[in-house]
Amino acid sequence: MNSVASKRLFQEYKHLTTDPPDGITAGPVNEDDLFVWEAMILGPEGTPYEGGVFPAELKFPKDYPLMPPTMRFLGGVWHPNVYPNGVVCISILHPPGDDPNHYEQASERWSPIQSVEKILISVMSMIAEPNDESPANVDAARMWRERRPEFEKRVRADVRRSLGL
Amino acid sequence: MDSAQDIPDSTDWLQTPLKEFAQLESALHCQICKEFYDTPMITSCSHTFCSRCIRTSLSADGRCPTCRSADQASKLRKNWALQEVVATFIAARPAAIGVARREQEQVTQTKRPGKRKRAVLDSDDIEQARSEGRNTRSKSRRTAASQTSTVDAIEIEDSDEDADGAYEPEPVPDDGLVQCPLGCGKRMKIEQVEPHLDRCEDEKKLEKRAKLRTPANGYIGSRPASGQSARPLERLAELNYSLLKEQPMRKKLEELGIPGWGSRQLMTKRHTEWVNLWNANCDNNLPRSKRELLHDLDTWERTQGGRAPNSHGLSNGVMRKDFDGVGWASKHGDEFSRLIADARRKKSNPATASSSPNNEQMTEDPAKPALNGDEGSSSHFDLTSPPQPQPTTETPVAPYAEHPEALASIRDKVEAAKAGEPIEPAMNQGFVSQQQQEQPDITITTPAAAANGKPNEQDIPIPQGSENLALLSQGHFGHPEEHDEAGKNWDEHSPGGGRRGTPCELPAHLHGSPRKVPMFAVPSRPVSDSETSGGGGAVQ
Repeated sequence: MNSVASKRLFQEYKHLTTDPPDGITAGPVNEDDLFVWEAMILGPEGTPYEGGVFPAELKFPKDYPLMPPTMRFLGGVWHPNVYPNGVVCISILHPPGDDPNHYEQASERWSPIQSVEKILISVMSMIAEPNDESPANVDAARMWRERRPEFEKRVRADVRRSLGL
Repeated sequence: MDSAQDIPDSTDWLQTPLKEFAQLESALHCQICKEFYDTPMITSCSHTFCSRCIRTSLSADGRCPTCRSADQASKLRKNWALQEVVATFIAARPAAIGVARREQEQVTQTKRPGKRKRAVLDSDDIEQARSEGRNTRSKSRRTAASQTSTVDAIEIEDSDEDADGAYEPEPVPDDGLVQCPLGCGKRMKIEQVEPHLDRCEDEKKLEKRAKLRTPANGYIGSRPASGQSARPLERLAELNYSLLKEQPMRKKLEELGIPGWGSRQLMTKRHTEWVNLWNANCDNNLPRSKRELLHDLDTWERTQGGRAPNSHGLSNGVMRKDFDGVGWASKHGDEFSRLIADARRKKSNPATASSSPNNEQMTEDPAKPALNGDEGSSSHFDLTSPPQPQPTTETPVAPYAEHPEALASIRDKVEAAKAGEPIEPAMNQGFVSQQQQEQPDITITTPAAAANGKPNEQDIPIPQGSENLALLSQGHFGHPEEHDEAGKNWDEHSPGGGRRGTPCELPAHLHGSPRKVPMFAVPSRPVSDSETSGGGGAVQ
């Protein structure tokens, strides 16, 4: 079954395996089903997330690349833009069109010219620089805004725990 | 996906000394499909995409994917120059990457066996490359032939101003002739110029028309043009779907020769897809036949349209009325026979089979098709390797000797369910009742359990197994939560003994007629057991 979506996903997979960006690995969980991927993102240097390895799951719709995939961190990440259940809230993953809440411009949202690589790079930069304007995790956002040292302490502790230290 | 590793990708260049070619190649890729441009079209905002990609994208969004300015499919224009660049690049690629890789091998001085020297393209590309290559060669020959005195006729493709500009630096051969002042490239004696001027324009037009007939842009029909020329390729207009009622739309679809079933929404999607396919084909200077387009539409139907596998793993196709049951049966016939053989083998040789049923596997089985999301052709379970005996400390080895049959039977059920066969609950109940009847036998012969005085722990695998059956008989698939919940229920109920098996109370008459069980392997021993032990969990 060689649909447009699976062809493109395979192309992206090959590109990502031969030329992966720094700190990112991604690929289908099972090569028979190209619509579920697993990705690993390294915590960006110079942030409290540094040293952490964050596994995430990407699920692609059948009409990819017209519509964006969804992304969920498997471990749960304490971050203003990550829901407590791990779902990532970032404009590049939002379907094309205008944001009903006018938080983000249409140009930031998903478009077929985006790719898994660009999503993961965006998520990596989102980890480094949270956007607290439309937080997914309100508690984390408030802590980040008001009690930064406590936020960083908690994140570091989470990273250590996830690494089994 | 057969040519998995052979898909050409821009990263192929990164391992060679020609690293910059990776960028060159990705510049020749469409940003939507991330492959080489296929019939590139330029939008009114001057961005370029494959015809089919941009048409699909525009019909979904109405905006250019790059800059998001509004655009319409009717405003797309063809990008001939880019098309030729891509075509020639594809033709040159295998040789170029071959040279680059050889170079790299010489540099590293290490022999890597199994490393292919030549880039292998998938068959389509090769075919295309061949036709391109042929054309390129013939073109260069033509160019070489005409180089001495004139400029190659092909360049007339450009606008006249450009062509004029190109002539100026050309060194004028000292042969006493003059060039046509209109730029047709002909050289003649000065006295011939005057009469030539009258004819020149006409000649140019003729020339152009001739070239249109034998495409100059690198496409000589490598595919049979079966009746292509006869059929005028007219672009289809998109319909105003909101104004069309269901019946007229169905009629419209059938007029176009595409399937007219499904909901209104599905028909809209299908028509949009068809219009995009068709119009993209019109843009192509090597149009494909309608049959090939219909095949593409069918692929769409199976992946995104009405026959797409739903989220529960059971494809709609299986449930549809016109589902090809015979075809399915013949396709999967050997699966069924293997399953039967498997079950028989296990029955005849119960001691070797697993004693501790792989609980995890059992509970996962119904959910598995959901994960695969395939039409089922490849998503059947790995039955060639039955669960390996995994004797654990908690479970003694012998007492569940009969259990693999239950496992096998469950698998059969799942297969049957996937094949869309009706599942008779009676069979399940019979099977369950029989299982239930062997239960006392097991608890008695389990020394460890007897010693512990906790037979319930041992019971757990069976209720789960039978619970699967129960769920299957009710037609539940791929609902892990529901499943777990039910499982808990059954664990709660399991000490009750008599209520094991199906969610509803077992009718008493079923206990009396265990012989009615026509599943593949009816174990003879447990059945006779039931008669001697009087049936039911009462013994426990």
